[in-house]
Amino acid sequence: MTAARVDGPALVYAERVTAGLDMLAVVARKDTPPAGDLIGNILLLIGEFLDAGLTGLGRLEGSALVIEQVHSRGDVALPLGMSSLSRDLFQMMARNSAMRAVVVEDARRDPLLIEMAGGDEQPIGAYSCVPLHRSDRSPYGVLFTLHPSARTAQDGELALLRLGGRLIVDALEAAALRQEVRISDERMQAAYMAMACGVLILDQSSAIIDANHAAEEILGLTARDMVGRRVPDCFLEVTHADGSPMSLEEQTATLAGARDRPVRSVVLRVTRFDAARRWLQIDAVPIQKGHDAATEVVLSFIDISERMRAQALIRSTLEAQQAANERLAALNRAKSDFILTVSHEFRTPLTGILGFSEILRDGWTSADEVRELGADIHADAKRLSRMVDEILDLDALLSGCLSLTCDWINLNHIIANAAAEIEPSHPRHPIRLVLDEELPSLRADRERVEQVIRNLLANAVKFTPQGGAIEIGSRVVGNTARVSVKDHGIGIPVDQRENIFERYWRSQNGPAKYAQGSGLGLPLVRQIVEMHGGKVWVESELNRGSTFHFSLPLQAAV
Amino acid sequence: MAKVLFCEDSPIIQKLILFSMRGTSHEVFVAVDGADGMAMVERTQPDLVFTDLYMPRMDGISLTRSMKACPNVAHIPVILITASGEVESIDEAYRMGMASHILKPFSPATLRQMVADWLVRSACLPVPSDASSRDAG
Repeated sequence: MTAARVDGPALVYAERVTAGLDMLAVVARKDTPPAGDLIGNILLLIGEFLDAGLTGLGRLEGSALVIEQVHSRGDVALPLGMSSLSRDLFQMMARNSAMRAVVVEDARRDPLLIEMAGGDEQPIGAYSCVPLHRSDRSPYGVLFTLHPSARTAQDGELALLRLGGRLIVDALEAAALRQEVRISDERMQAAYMAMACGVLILDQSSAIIDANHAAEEILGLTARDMVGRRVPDCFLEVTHADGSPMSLEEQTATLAGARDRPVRSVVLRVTRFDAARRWLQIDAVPIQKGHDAATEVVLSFIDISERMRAQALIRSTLEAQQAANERLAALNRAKSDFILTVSHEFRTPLTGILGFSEILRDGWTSADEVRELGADIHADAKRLSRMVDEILDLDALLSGCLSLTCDWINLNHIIANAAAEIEPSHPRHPIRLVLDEELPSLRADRERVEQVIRNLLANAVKFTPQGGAIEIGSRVVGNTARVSVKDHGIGIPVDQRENIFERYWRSQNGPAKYAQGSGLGLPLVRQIVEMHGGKVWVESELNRGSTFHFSLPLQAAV
Repeated sequence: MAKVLFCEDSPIIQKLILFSMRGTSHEVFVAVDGADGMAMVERTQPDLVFTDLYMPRMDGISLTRSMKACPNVAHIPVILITASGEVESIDEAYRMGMASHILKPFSPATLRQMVADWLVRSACLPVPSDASSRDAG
């Protein structure tokens, strides 16, 4: 280039400018060199081709011009420098939007510069200046050249300067845009990775091409495991939220389809490969890329398992609460009935005690009768006392205040004793024993088992109003000892066979209403038998009789 | 001598009634339930009937209803022996034509007094026309 520098012929200048334009075009075509390098190259090219002592780029910052970058050719630049005069000149040109690009061949005859210099000596021989504007037309600054002496400008010089200026502004704006895009991209990527919502990107064949951290966490798979799979293949099982089965077509439509229409807030239940169960609320939206028919799908989901579990818990708690309330209400009703029953039942022995004692007090009775009525009063008082005991016993057993005192017992002995005890007072009810002599001993609470057998016998007598045999038997059934008490009484309607074991329950219309008792005998029987790990039940035929059975485990050390 | 019928299933109360009525000049009958009582009412034509509320086979209210439906015994006063808690049953009994009630536990003296009062009252009551010729004495 230096070799080409010969004095003045216009042709050489024109060739240089043309070559400069070509070079600039080459530089501009280079895709994305860093903006600083590009500007340096442009300044160098322009400076060399125009033989400028100083070529520079000034940028407006507010109203002041900041010299961003210069290219100087040592031998001619030094006396020029960046004087306050040239700075003022270019600053004025940059700020004034009416200013056009100028090439001044003889600066000492430039009226603008003469005015600004105010008659002072100034070193500038010639200059050129192109105001630069951003693509939104706002002023950016200037591209300028300074020459030590007056010169003759050639055709195309102005075009070269304008093109250079345009390239510089474009490069700067492109760099700014790239920076903005990069920051935005980084922000988006960070947000995508940091969001609590799981996101999968699916390609046009519904295969996963990307997954964020939340997706990895929620699905229990790494992004690497997921990429290439279809979403339904990321789980052991996919069902509707309520656990009902979902066909593969439905799964595909929700989890991979969504190409023609978005999926909004669909809740599914999935079973992960580690068997963990999750409820996912899913949204799927297709992303249209330009006019291309092939689309990707963004599948986003949140894990709502906690909410679903909480809801289920609330629901079941409410149901349990409701059931408990109903049970309480029923128990309350039963308790009221019980109080009525008990007060009724208490009244009979009380009437006896009060009446007989009044008769004794009034002294109309023989010595034998005194003894007889005394015995009656005693029996009534005992009956009252037993009823009170039963009430308290059952409460204590049910509330867990009483526990069993187990021992090895012989059921047959207990049955025989109980029968012998009850028989004399009920001459119309002969008691027949059908005992299995092979019945082994078993561990149980002797007193409680006696109570069970006494209650069942008393019951059998009570509900056989016309008189008739009672049969009580024992036998081994499997690994249990079974005791059966059979009466020839009034029987129990089918719908009441479970109720009779309920506390405080008494038949409201059946004949049992007329029988005496606390209504606690059978509930006591059941409680005691169940505390031994046994069970109690009844078979009955109306007007023919009932058979109560209870079984106690044989080996169990209760 | 008046005839008084008691329908009562409880042996204790039966015995108490018998002891209570001792020393009165009345003829006392005891039935063990309502059905038994209805049969005895027809057979013995008592002047007064006492009945327990709850009894096997036929209860006190059914007995009253049966008696009121039967012309030749409809005039006999029926008195309910009952416990104080059974208000609804007492109301029902009065609707059925029950004459009065006595609460358990009752004292023998009260029972005797009640029998005496009702025998006097029933003697003053108008006798149903279809039974007048037979019961005139």
